[in-house]
Amino acid sequence: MDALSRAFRRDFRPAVADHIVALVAVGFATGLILVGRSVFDKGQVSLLYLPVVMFCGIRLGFGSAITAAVASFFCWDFFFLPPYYTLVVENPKDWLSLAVFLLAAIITARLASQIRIEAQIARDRERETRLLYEASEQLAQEVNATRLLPVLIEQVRSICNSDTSLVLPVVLPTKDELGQPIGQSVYSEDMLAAIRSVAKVALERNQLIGFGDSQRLWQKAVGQDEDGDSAGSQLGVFVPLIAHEDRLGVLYVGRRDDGLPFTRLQEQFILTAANHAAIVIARQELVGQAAEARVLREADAMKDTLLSLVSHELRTPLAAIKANASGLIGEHSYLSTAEKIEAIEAIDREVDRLALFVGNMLDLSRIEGGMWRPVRDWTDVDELVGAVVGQLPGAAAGRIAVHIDKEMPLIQIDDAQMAIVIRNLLDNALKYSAPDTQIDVSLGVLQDEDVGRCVLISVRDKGPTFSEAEAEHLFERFYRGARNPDGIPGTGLGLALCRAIVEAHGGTVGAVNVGSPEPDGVSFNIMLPFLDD
Amino acid sequence: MALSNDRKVILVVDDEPSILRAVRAVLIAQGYEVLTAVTGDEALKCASSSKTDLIVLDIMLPGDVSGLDVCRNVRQWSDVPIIILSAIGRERQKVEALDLGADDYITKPFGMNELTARVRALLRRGLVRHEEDSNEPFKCGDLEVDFDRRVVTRAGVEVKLTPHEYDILVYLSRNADRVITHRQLLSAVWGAPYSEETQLLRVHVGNLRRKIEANASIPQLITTEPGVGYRLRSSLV
Repeated sequence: MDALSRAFRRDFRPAVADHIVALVAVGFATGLILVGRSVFDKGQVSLLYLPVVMFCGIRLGFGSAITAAVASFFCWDFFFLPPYYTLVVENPKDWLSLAVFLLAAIITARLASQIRIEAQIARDRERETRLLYEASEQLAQEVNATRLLPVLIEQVRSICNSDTSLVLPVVLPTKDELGQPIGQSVYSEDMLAAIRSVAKVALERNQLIGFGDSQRLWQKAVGQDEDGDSAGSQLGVFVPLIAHEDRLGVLYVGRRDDGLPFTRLQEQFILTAANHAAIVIARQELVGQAAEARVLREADAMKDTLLSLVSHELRTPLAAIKANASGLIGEHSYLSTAEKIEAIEAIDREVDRLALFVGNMLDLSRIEGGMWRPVRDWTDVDELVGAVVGQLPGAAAGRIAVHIDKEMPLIQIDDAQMAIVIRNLLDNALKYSAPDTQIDVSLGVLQDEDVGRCVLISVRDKGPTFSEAEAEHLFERFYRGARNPDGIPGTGLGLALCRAIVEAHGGTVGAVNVGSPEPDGVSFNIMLPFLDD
Repeated sequence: MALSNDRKVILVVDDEPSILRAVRAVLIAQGYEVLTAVTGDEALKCASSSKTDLIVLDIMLPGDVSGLDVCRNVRQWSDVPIIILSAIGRERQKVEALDLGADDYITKPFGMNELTARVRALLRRGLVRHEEDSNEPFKCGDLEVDFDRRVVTRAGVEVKLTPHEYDILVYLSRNADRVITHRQLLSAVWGAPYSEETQLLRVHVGNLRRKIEANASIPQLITTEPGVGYRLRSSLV
């Protein structure tokens, strides 16, 4: 009954207006009874005053009920106990009646105001329950802490009549620092810094600051103590958010706008809200961890796939080399000279294939691992394409036509890396299109919505087109599309490498079917942004 | 011993015995005398104690003395041609070695044809270099550079070059078949303070190509080695 007795104390000094209402009520009742003084027995009159006291107790509280009781006592004596209109009492037995009446009136006042307080507590409880229900309903619907926390904070703020309420979450992954506060604040930067430092103390000590007794203490000794507790109390209430012994942040509630301490119910609500906030943040963290675990699982699965593909790509040429080389030595010398040459040529070919694969694989992992960042220098893309085409065998180079925008500006790229990209795209185009078809390389400058002002390099062949479903996978490693019906040899890494390099340059690479009226080939387009834009 | 005077001596440095063996066999078959070393230390001792005409040098050597150290050290007292063997994609390393004075590079894994072609070209150039003072005109395809008269002709027709374009062409032709890094070319033509001004070089080489190449888009004379530098060919294959 602690709350009840505290509420009594709070109720004991009602506003002056309540006493006046009590007096008026007693006066009104006296007037009414006076009209029927002849009808009522003087003993009955005393009973008629008790409902008035009861009314005051229920509606106005204990204090005004006592006022009404005392006033009734005097009115009864003055108006209804002979001799009338004096406080003198004729019959000594009436003294006993008066004493009993006063006792009865006081007990009535006490009981009535108790009913009133219990009703008030019940109403508060109901309100609290309703608010908690609403809060938990929102909690249940909203998984996302970033959306839920502001709602919760706003509820705390309005229920606690505070001007500001904030949640200061810890910063992952170290959880040593508090991050940006969540919630609307009307405070200055200095004030926020002070709040942050007190919040840190609350979190480190895992201690409520500004609550209960300490809250009242500071009111008595405002600003006289430099201790973190009382300094914090002046700012408001700090509740560490803990879930599963994991420190998640601090809930801060600013002081009530009327300067009074929080009521018991408000304090309870703050604690409940803090629990909710902790659960919300913890759940968010768990959701994040679950997602991370899923990504890791997927990466694991991908690594397995990758490994099996890699080992296949490595084993095939190795097996061919071993077969041919072992055929050349020892007792297999029955091979004819022509067969020996054939075997040696096969070895040479397979080694080239192996070297290309290993080279691509290493380049790709170096780029994706961030170990081979582009070293940019001014480059003439026209010159670069020329250099790559110049390295191709004559027959292949003859199929390639380069179209240049007359004014190609220099661009800052890593020319060695970009040479690999162009080389791969040209190799692809040469491989996948018929030997008598032309391959067009176009260079130009354009303004792209996403990339900005950029250099466009496009390689267009007359090879087989691809379906929409394939388009997404073309640049994935080891993807060998339906564009590859005849088992054209390749590592399945070329385009993945192209994409990694171009993206390391901040550019994009894509493929589209081209030709009219029906698509008769594919164009691979690279867009490289100018750095200065 | 009289015969050995005619035979060129090539020092091959690599820590992989099977590569050493293969290279050695092929070079001997081509008529060269071959010395081998497996560490940087050994290579330096070998190069200083006997007459060598060319060094084939793996840049990734075990031990304290790297291929780059060997290159730097040898250049202090000799201008013997050096061919660097380097792993794929290590353009910075190649540039560093070339800036230190290496003459050419080959990327591992390499084919023997490639290696012997580079060796032949560099040894040929070594002969020419001794006659540099004679200012013999440089000829390649239909291009001719007459150093005495400072005239460049293509198929007998004079080509008008700006002073910088001419200087670039002269420097490249004096170092024909060698890979010249951007830094080397910029320092030689514009001076050391300009050694990082790649933009300048790109523009002038582009203009030079338009004047001397049959097809500037796919140059045959001045070729670009992406990430490394330029090379002027002394003969068209």
